[in-house]
Order: sequence, then C-alpha cells, then structure tokens
Amino acid sequence: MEETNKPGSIFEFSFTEKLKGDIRMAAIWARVVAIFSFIASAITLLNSMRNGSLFFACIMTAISVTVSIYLFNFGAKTKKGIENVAQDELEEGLNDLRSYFKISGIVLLVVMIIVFLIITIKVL
Amino acid sequence: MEDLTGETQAPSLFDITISESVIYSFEQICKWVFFQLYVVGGSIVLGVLIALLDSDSIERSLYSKFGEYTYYVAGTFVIVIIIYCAFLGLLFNFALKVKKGMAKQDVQKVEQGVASLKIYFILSGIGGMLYILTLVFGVVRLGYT
Repeated sequence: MEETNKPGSIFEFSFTEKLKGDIRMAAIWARVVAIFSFIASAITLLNSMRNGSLFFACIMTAISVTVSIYLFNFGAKTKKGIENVAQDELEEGLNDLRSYFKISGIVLLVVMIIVFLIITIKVL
Repeated sequence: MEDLTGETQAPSLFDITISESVIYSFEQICKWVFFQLYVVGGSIVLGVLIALLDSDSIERSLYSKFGEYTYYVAGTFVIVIIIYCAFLGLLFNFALKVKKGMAKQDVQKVEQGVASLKIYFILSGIGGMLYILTLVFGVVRLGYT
C-alpha cells in the first residue's frame, strides 16, 4: 500500500521515517552545539577573570548559557520523544527550539542596535 | 515505513503524530527564524550603507592597523560574511519549506526543511568545535583569547 497524502485520511500528515530520522539527528547535533557553547562560555569566563574584564564576560556568559540551555533541552527531549514514541516530550522539545530561536533573535537584535549606535556615534 | 514483505505501511496509531500542537510549534519556530534572519539581513544592509558612506575613514582606520594587508583583511571579512550568509541560507530554507509544508500538509516539503535544519546544526557543531580548539589554543599557547 502506498503512503497517501489525501485529505480525510487519519494518516494524511504524519511523521515519516526520514522525517523522524532527520529530527533525531538535528536534536543530537543541537545537543553537541549546546555542550560546545557551555564549554566556550566557561573558557571565556575563566580567561576574563585573568584579564580583568569580568563584568562584560559575566553578562555574555549568562546570555549564552541561557540560550544554550534551551538548545540542550530541545536536543534531549526531542531525541527522547522520538526514540520512546513520547508525543509530549517531542512537543516540549519543539517548544524549547522555539524559545531558543526567540531569545537568540531578540538578543541578536539588541546587540546589533548597540553596535550600530556605537558605530554611528563614532562616525558622527 | 515498510513491513517484512517490503510493502509500505501507514504509520501506527500509537506512533508520534504531527498534531495541532506540533504544527503550532513548527509555525512559531519558523516565525522566530525569519525574525532572526530579518535582523541579520537588516544589519548587513546597514553595515554596507555605513561602509559606503564612510569608506574613506574606514579605509584609513584599517590601514593604520593593518598597513599593506588592509585589502587582504577587508577581503577576508567580506568572504566570512558571504559564508555566514550561505550558512544562514540553510535556516531560511528550513523555515520556508517547513512553513509551506505545514500550510499545505506536504510531508516532503517538511522533510526537505528539516534536512536543512539538520545540516545547519551539523555545521554549527563543527564550527563550535573549531572555535573551542581556537580558544584553547589561544589560552594555553598564547596566554590570551
């Protein structure tokens, strides 16, 4: 029997094996990225303690860790949800990915505004 | 999904499904990805405008720092931005295809979009690894980052 996408079927729009595999793989790599981000934040913080620029580094580390926690949760929950066929965990994982992109987008906007203000002040 | 006879089966009722909640989450993810891409795009356009408006002083400032290597540094910077844009193209592809796929209930489109997200995270992971190696090398060998 061929998989169909006809409206009205209860199977009309469901996770295929390829889709599940890709989401699982994305979740695994997202967790790797989050772990690297934790390590990089720790190294930056330790290095700034030595250099004396602790205040700025603390703010950057706090933001980076907060964003990375969402990414890590996405990776962990989504992988678990797909492997254990747990719909709730999959949905929670996707919500974490949404929060990750939301927070990182807002942080990026704020950083860009600050950078352009500094550049504009310097240029003028 | 294939059974032992090689025939394709519909997914089990007890399998995970693309529920209303999953569709909503994907739509929200796409919305925030587009927001992030608009911010980056706007920043690049503004950066180019500032560079064009104040090209003389930027060139002088770069020349005082890098001397004869000024144009190599500027060229490298432009290449890095182009690579970064290509990298963000994966996110754009993800958001566009998943949004369309969810709206038209087209699983293949969603698959293509999620495949882009997978590649984005794989490349981010490799980039992150290189960044950590650079940080560690900077701290251990040179004493600073």
